[in-house]
Amino acid sequence: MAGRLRKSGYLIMASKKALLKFGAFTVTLFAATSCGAASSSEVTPSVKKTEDATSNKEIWGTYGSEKVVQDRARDYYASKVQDAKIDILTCKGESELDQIVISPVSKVNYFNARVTNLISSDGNVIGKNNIELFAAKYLKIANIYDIATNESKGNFPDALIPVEAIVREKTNYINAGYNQSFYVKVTTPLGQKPGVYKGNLFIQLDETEYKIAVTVDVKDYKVNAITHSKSLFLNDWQFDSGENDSSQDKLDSYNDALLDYRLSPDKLIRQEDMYGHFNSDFIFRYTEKAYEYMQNDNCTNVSIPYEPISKVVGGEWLQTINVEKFKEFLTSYYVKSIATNYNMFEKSSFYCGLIDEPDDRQILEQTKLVVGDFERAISEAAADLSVHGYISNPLHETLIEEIKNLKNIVTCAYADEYAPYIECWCPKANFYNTEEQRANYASQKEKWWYTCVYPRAPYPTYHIEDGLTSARALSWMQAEYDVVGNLFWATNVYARYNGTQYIPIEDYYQEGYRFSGVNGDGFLFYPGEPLGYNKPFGSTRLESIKDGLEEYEIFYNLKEVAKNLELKDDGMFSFLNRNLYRGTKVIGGTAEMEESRKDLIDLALANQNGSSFLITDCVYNENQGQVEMEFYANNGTKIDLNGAQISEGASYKNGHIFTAIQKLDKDENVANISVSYGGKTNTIKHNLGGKIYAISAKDLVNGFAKYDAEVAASLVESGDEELVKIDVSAINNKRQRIRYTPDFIKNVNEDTKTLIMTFKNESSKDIPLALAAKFTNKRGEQYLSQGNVLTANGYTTVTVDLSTFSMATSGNIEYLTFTFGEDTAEGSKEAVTAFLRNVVLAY
Amino acid sequence: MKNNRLLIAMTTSMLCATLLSACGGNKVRDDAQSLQIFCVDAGYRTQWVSDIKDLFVQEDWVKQKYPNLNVRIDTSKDQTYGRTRMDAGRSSNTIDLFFDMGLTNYNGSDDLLDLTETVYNSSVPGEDTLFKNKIDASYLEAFTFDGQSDPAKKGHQFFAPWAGGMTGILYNADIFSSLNYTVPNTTDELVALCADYQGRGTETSPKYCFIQGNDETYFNYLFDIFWTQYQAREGYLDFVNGIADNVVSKDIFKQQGRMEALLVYESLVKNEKHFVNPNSINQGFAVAQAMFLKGEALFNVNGDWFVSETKDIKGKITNPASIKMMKTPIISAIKNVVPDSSIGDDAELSALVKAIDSHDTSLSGAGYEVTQADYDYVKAARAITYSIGAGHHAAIPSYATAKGLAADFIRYLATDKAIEAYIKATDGASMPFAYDLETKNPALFAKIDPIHQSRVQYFADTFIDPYTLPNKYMFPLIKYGGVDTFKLANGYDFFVQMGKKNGAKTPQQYWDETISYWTDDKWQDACERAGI
Repeated sequence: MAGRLRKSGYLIMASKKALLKFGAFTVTLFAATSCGAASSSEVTPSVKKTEDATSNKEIWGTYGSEKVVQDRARDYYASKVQDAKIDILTCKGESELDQIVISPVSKVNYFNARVTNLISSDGNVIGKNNIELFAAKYLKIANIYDIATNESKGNFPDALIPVEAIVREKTNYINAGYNQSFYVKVTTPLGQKPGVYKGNLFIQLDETEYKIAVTVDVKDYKVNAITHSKSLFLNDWQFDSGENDSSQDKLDSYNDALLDYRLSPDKLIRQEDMYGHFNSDFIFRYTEKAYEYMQNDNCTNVSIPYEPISKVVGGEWLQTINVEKFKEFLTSYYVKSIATNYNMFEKSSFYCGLIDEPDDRQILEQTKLVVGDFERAISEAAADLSVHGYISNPLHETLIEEIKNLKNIVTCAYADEYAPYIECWCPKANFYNTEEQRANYASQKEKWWYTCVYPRAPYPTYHIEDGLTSARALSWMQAEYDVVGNLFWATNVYARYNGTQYIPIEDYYQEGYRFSGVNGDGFLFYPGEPLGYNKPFGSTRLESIKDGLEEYEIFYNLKEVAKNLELKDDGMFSFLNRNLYRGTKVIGGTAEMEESRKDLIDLALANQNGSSFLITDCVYNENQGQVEMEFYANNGTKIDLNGAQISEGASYKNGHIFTAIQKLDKDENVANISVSYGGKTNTIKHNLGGKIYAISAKDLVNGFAKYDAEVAASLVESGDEELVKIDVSAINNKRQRIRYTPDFIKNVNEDTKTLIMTFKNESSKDIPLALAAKFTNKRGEQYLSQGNVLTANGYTTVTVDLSTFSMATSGNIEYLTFTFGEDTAEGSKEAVTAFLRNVVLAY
Repeated sequence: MKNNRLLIAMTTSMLCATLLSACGGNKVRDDAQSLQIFCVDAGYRTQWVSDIKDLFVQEDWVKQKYPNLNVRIDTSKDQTYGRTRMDAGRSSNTIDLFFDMGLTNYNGSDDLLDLTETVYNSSVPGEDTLFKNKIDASYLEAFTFDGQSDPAKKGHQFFAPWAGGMTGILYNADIFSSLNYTVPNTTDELVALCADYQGRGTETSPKYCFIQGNDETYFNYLFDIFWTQYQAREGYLDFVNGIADNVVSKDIFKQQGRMEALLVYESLVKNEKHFVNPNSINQGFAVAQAMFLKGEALFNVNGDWFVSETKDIKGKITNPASIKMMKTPIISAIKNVVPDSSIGDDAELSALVKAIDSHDTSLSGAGYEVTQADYDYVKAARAITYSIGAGHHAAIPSYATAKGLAADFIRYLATDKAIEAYIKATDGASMPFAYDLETKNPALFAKIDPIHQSRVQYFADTFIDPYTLPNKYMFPLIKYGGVDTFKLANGYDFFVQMGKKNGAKTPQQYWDETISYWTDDKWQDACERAGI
């Protein structure tokens, strides 16, 4: 891999220095640890017998990304218990992990683990040097803040510690009644031959060694070695507290570690070394370092530092950037780019902490000042270099344009008063939830977003009580909504913020609450030094983030194909993600993520089998109880849906557009798509969701009652259909609101994804309509859908995405309300008549 | 390069410890019979803890239960000290019982002992009542955990109150007497009285109605009272829960009561009226209070802690004014919102308020004739009061070695004996427990400051049945969602911005900027943060 920055890691023994080279491919045997005071057996027990793990009910498997809480009964996970085996589906050029859980009834005083090479039927090998064994350390979570997760307190797995380190620490024991997760991580090189590889994992528990089958299915698909997503993960916090080392080398180890996860760091030189030392030498050093990092294919974004200064604006002292120093930086980057024939600005951006979250902090004046100074800096630097730069150099013009267009990433959701000053909005991920919200950023050249303490679940988070699907799905959403950049505020807060300052914490591996009102925010790494390692340990969350970014690369490739063919690419998202997330709200768990990922890989394989197969559209037409799909494939491709061949449709470029419809009339509806080209067939088998239930008018007529306005409902015939006629009285100075408690709401539960109501308006005037519901556990009524208009002389469908309402915490719906007319208590409203045609519930 | 930040942090921790003053002699043992108490030294001082401790250790049941009892009390003026100790965690915090004001964020945390059974559902020692039944109902409501961060603990209590301070408008009774002023019943009367008093001054000898300090936000306490009087208790609770017209909606920002409260403010602080002593923006609260005692203003918005806070300075002032606390006048605009609109004008409202204060249940009387619904509405408004007591927390760390002893001490606070000891030590302040001092100990009642006398009488008035507003910052929408009554709702901001000579902010400006700030997106975000 060209220019890889990776430093060798060194294992430091307490009393002597022992040099062991680390790299991606080093053989490492690790041991697991537990929370608790007692240490493991002083004498390493020898293995007296070897058994198959399937014979021991205390050893079980589950999804690799399932968080098995340490102090929770195994029964809690009954629906997720799988055979005790390691089963990994992977592509080339990525890593994946799976887990085994030990839940002993009696205490295990000693454990260890080892793994064999993995060998395919063709004799190809995935060596032990590509396999890492970890065990989880657990964070004590005393309070749950992401209520929508429906979690409860406990010890949550997060830190991934090499088993070897745990054995050395002598915490390799498992208390009775506790769960201990072991993780097997397989990194598959780009050049690995596809195939099914088999081997064994051995876990020693006291004197018995348990054999666990390991299967790795390597698909013939290469995940891009070059990372196309961008990120800015702030990486210079209190790592020195945990590592007892605040050196530049230590920061480098953290930045290198971030790159391993396809993430880019914020600071390349310690901020203590920056402020107060912002001179030419520092600018030079930083430029050199930035250049070095940019050679790494996983480094996609480096923020150019700034020197803060104070200025008086309107009688108030405000902080801004030092324009002259910033110009020096731009010039330094320009010169280095010319000298190396490498455009450093392609991977550059600007993020200024002085105007972080400006709308929340109400710092409009400071924002104006900083943005103004930034723009002055780039424009003056560009103008200056246009005249005095290396004009004849072929890269010159490009660099000048890059300087002029340097992004200023501002962590802010769209707000009118800030619009004149912000070009690169970086809102929180929840501000991309609806189409209307996304429209605010449609014209943005490069889209960014961020997460912090907020948003909370069900939006994607890196919070401890949230599932790992959430962290992974964030990158899927990025791919869908073309959000190239992801910013995260802190990766190594090894302290706790008490409201006014950061204070030390006692145990870096157990304390999950480090910032007010959130678990896990502020840290993704764990210090290596306490366990004798000179690089940080990762976490299950980091692995999920990386996994998501690897899938982003697969989406990237598919989108490139679509772009080159000038076709839409959103069809594959609505096809794959329907059970995973809606908007930016995560609705699926580990099972849904595994399934969607498998289907994504199958789609990618089908695409690259010569057919260029794409899912260009996928519409869930719940009202008709069907899914309407559109595909593209090259000439000569045969496509079957559930065994029936789909006819070629319109000709398009070198292929055809195919359309297909699948009814959603079963409890589980699966689309079995096979794509055959050149004698090769690839299959995508995807769960489209549950049954659609349509409720006709005759079952809807009862349940209407007065709320503010009077109402009368009756069943009428209109043409060849039955409708519920709803007559609502006129009203003054109150909402024109009625209550509706139909029978069908008893069937609305956590599994209900969508509620659709079709109305008819036989009048010549449009009728506004807002729909709300009273949930059992909520104090007030909640809007389900606002701003609807029942169009005159026509039908209108109101669709409510119930999957995002977290009914596990909200409770069931007690009643609905319809508010006709303007949704306000002010003014007079005339009597209205509307007709309810039917209701559809989709599961 | 290595450093040792942990060592620095530990040293800092030790330095914090040296800020304490300890009474009780030598270092206390750390066992189940050794109680280590921390009390923050703020408005009500700390003498009350010592006095109650002295009574506690003499109780026979205590001697029997804790034969090797040892109590140590630490105090500090540093209002962050308590939180710092809690943050330090079980490995270094040995305090068993906190009387603090900075532990709000620990509500519902595993770090605090659940007091539901150990205190609230236990009996008051020596009395035939449960602790929860002796505490003021609105305090019980305020101290009940909402379950936001741990649904399993919803409905439990983790704090007990140790102060029941009342806020309101203090007035110079001497001036009132000399000018034959009567306590205003309505805000219009208050404004008129201010105008009259101000008009008696001259350019060289102005008469100011209000004096405040620039380091306090007492004026803000009036806002919530005026607002809730207008909007009714349900309206206040709806707002803090994000509900308008029964549905979660940003229409809460259309609640008129907030505007009406601001209009009252404007009528009092507007610069051109010259009601406010101009030194209010460049002096601290202590100076303001001293000036008030010297007669430099007619009113000072404050709380009953004024008595203990000014105890020392009062002794240094020649002929300090006689200060009393009035019942907060009823907002005059209430007549526009009562259910049946049967209150014609402010005079009628004032007459109605007077009747209510004298417990007259007649719907018609001297100067008024109203419907039952309107009568009830105004009576409910008269019951609204604001207290900072909800922010005064007694709490026990869950890992405390003397948990049981600490819980017993808290329960003891609710005994009549302890209540009286508290009253004596604080010159008349009291904790929010049911205790009619005027009836039970008239001699002691006669000795306490008139400010406290009026407070005791007010809270003992079962006809009015005072309702202490729950602290809005305990509600998720405010606490997590970033919502407040106005975009910039700091009480001092109202006082300063609305009182400016040039470019004063108007209520309409506050209203408009709040409406425009809360876009659908921001509202949605706030609700999601709050989990509502």
